[in-house]
Amino acid sequence: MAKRLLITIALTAIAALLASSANAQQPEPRMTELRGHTMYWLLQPGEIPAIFEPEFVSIETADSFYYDEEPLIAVVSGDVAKGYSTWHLDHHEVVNDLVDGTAIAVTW
Amino acid sequence: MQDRETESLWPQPWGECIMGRSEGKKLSEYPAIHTSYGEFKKLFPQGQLLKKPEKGEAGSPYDGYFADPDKLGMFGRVNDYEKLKGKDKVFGIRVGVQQVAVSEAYLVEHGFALIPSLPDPVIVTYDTTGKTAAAFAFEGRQRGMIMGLKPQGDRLVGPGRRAVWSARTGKLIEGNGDDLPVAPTMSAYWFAWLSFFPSTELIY
Repeated sequence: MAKRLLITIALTAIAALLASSANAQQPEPRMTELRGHTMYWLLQPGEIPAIFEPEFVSIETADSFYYDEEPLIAVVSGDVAKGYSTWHLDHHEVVNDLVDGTAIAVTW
Repeated sequence: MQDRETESLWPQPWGECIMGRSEGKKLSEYPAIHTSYGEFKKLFPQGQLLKKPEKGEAGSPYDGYFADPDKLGMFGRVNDYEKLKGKDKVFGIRVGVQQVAVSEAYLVEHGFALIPSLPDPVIVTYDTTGKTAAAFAFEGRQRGMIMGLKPQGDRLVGPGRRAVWSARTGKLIEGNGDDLPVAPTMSAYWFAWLSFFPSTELIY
């Protein structure tokens, strides 16, 4: 189970490989010993570009580029509701945002 | 995840730093609702959407991976899980040291799941049409599920119908009371959730 866990941790860093170009040069995965187990690094930090300055639009505007069936992670605070498309997050995996003054990381 | 300033590593499911200067530090989970854009528009007509560069084609670049029930990650893991198949979707909740996963199939069949084992009782609701999953915890002042909160369609009805809430957002619709607090939940494949939380309770 522990080995499965470490492999799963590595998987969070390699998801982009599934959609990457077949011609992309991928570095040899490096390994790190962590808590008595081996962790594999298959991507360099930043290879999946996180969003640091997200912009938001109204529903009226979003209708132009969102599909009704598009999965969302919705974060609500008081009267503020924000939707983050997981199809878009497939390419970024992390959105750094502020909600009602609280810094959050929306991850996928 | 990697924190740029400290170059430390944080697996998302744990929200805890496992390597680097921040090792041992923990992030707090933030409540979220899992839904679709079409449903979001109805629930939150004044809502805002993360801007995208273009509309593009519908779907995810990982649709092939999502559609393959036997492809579990990248290392050829065998799909030999009990109770659920490895790629079955669950909605996971963590409270302190407790973890509970509710299978999507259970929610599709029943429309909701009660979790009385957590310190504050939690109800997970699901709408098949809008593919909306949300969890609500009941704090002491809400008197908890023991008082007989009942799901009725897209509503949650309190004892004696003295209060009614939206089963999708937790907003108070009728009567007296506070909005139901949304509980943090995580959408995951069973094999991944179980990897991170091997002692998890499962409702399926």
